[in-house]
Amino acid sequence: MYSLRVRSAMLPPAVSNFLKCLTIVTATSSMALTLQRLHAAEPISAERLCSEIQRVVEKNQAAVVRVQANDHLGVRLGSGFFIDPAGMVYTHAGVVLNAQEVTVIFNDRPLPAKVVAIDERSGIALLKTDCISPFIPIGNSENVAIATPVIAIGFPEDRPSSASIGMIAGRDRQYMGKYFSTTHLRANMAVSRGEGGAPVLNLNGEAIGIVMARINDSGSCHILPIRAAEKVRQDLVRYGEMRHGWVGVEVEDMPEPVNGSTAKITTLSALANAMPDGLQPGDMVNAIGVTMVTSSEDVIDASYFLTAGEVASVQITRRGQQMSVSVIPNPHPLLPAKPLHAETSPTP
Amino acid sequence: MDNEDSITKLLRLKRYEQPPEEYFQNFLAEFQTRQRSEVIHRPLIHIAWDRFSSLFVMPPIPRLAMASSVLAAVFTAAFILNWSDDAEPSSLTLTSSGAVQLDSKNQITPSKVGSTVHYVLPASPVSYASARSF
Repeated sequence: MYSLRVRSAMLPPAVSNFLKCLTIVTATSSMALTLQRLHAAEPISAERLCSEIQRVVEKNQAAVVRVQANDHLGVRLGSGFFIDPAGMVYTHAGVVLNAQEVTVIFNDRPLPAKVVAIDERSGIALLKTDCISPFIPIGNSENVAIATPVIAIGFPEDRPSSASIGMIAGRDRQYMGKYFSTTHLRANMAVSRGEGGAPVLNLNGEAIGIVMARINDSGSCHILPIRAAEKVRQDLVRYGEMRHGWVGVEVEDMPEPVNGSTAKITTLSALANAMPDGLQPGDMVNAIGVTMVTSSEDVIDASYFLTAGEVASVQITRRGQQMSVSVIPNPHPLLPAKPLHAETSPTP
Repeated sequence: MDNEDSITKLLRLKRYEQPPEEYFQNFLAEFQTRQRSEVIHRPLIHIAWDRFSSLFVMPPIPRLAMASSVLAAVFTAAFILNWSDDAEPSSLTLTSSGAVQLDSKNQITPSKVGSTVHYVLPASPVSYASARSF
């Protein structure tokens, strides 16, 4: 201590102050690291896990609603959830498609709802009700790891609000040979009819997805990542309409990768051809926007997040040389291979 | 007249006519053998009928006890049938537009014949035949 004081006294004031600051920062960082390690080393007991799940369900259950739509065929029932305090609801498009009247059952009270948007590409719908509502915060669906526990809260058939727990089993781009509009999460979680549109939550109580379909009777389901739903909402907020982008480029896989990608442009639409210095057949696609492309299937996600009218950068390899090409997508033709419809099960 | 005499002689002769001694000795044994044979070789339908009839032979139960049991069975059946009907959700009302209204337990059921309820959860997400394009 004495020697330190002597040495400090011998140093210039600026250097001395710098050393003091460095000492404080180092000590604080060490303490933070130690606390973090202690926290990480604390075992998660079963009771704690159960109480966490109960807390998430109790906190968010009030923001989950039943969505009811009427048309000439009868009554369709699904689930939905508030995403803001002004009564905006995410639900499954199959519930409200071609409906004559839409109602949201909130706190056992039917509220008339306006259909703001139905996105046939992602399969979700946005509803608006005139009420002050609890809401579920939006989480990050990109960093959801395999085996992450998730909770779904919905209205199975004619039963009251129910919670299901499962875990993320994987990410799927296709099912039964048909590609989705974007990569979906697959969860080992049993959901029932009527839970289409239910929120899927992480253990922080944030919505990371929306229940879109169940996989046969396997006790699994497909979940639309919340980022894909938010793309629709952001388009509505920014432009007042949905703006799925479309460049008009077809790709296929080559046997050998070029610069890490096997996706080769085969055909261009007339609009894509019209761009000066644009993409050309034979170009190898390495990235679209911020999405890296290593195979032709990777363009699915990249394509989904393109916005019509917004410049997007496409990284390509042309004749062995890497370059970047800017494209301005056009509105997506939105031609699903099969019409969107709900699997129905008439009650006896 | 001769004929009458001959008949009288014949009757007098028959009155003293007796079967041999062996006949009376075997009579009882033969009778029992024949009787046993009759029992054993009965027609099948008679045996079946006897067994069927024996099922309905009631034990000696007082009439009052029998009537009480039947009455209790009838009441139990009626209660079970009514309880099953009450278990069905039936607390919905039909609005003018044909919509159903929920009760406080959020139970749903069609409120009129022809109004069907469909619970939405498709078998697969929205998909496209060709996705390798952008």
